[in-house]
Amino acid sequence: MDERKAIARLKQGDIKGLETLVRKYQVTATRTAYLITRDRAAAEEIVQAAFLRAYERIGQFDSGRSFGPWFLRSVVNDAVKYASRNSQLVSIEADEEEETALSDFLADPAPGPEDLVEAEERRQIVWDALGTLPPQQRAVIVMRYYLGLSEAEIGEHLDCPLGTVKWRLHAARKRLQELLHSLQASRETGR
Amino acid sequence: MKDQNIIQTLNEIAEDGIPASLDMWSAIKDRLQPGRPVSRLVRWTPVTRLGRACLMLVALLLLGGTVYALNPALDQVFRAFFPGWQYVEESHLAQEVGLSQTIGGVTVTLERAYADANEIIIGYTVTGASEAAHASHISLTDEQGRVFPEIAGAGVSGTSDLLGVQLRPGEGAYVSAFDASIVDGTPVTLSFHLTMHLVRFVPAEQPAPAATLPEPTGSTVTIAPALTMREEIVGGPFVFDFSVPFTPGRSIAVHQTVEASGVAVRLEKVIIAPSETRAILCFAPPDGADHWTLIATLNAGNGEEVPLSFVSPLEGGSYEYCQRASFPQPLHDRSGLYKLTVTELMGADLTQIPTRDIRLAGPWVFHFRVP
Repeated sequence: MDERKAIARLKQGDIKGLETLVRKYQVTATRTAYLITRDRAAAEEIVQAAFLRAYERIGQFDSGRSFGPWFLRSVVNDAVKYASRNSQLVSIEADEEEETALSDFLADPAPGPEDLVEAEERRQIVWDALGTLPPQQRAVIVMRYYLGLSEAEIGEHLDCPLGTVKWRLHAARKRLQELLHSLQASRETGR
Repeated sequence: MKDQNIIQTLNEIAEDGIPASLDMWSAIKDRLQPGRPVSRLVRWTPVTRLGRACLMLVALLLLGGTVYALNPALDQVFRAFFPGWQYVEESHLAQEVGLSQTIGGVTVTLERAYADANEIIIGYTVTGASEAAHASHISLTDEQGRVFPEIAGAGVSGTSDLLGVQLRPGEGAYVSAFDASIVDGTPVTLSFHLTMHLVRFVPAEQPAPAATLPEPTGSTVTIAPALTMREEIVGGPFVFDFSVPFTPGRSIAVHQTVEASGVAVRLEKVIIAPSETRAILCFAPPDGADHWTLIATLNAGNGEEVPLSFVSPLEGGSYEYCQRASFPQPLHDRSGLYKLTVTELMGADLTQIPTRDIRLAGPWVFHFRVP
């Protein structure tokens, strides 16, 4: 069943339509919530609640639009709310002079056996650095780099103007760069 | 290519955390209410994105970047009624509900909802009513059918100089708060079923008879019948199903007992959440009165004595008389040594006319640390 038919059936009260949408979006939605909340159980609960809410409100949904952005917007907002309530930000002193790009830091053009360990460490460093970002900035990074949304689409998701998105994205990137360097430096010192 | 590395790393983290085999359909199916009528789903009037976008644009132009998606009159009621509202809004803790239902030309829109360990608070607007109408017979239940008692409410219709609000005839903005004590643990979200009727006040057909009270001097005082009013239903039931993120707050188990004036008062626990700070205080009711309340202040370590806003008895009390003392000031970000002082216990014997009051002076002072 394609998405359009699924929504039409759901609007008629047929939960088979919901099942189609759940199976299509559950993994992406839960991973998105997980990256923002950093808590798998919370991510699953948020996504389940979002599907239930979608079921309740499908009458409001414009069938001419795609379900995915409408649904993921709800998941992102709930994940940010959850993360805001449970945020325990780690304060890390970053070197304001460092301007090496995050992508340079992450560059790994020739993965070999030794690099597999580095890849694992790289994931851990990014994970830790993400955790130190305020939830709104974390959400912007996740939407831009995990969901692949444009800045305009992020603005639509977060109900904020394009300028605010650009600023948040810039601030998030900058903050992430600083944190990555600080984390890497502290790990190298600890070796 | 560089961005590709970021994308790859985030994808790897996401795949590590959430496997592709994840299947939550059976869990979702179990949570769906069986036999739900379809017609209810299509009765909702959509609140259009375009309308909200225009409101936000106007607000941005007027307020220089501050976004107020909430109905302005309702925002004023929230702020007047709920001291912690600004923090809740700025922290995005409230749920934008945006569900509308129209019955007989009257539209009720459930705009905002918020839930923490102390209270569940909803904000709704009314349009199209022929005269000032407010909600009554409000019932809030959860998926298990548990009832959340309404403990307070506020609202505005017409013109309010105090709030700076001028509404058109038939419009109103209202906030209701429900006790959240029965919420177990720290769920991520809570799902609710809300029903309400709109009512208006009309004069009662049969005025209450005059009351005659004996005075100690032997004379009598006759009290003229008050103009009694009754509620008349003008619309409903309005029915809403919605979910709200849950803010757990901080719960501090204190279990301290202090004795003064021959009465031992125990501070059981304190729950600090954005809606209010709540202290649970228990004592064996002294002789001479059957209804007791207390006066207390709370000092959050900053020297300011915050007076309590209201006291209500806990449900299901036994020999002990446990009270729920609420302090409305937002203390959610205050840590350190707190001091709660019960300055007085006040009892009333309602079987006596006039009622006999007893006042017992304290103080009962409790110190506890909030992490």
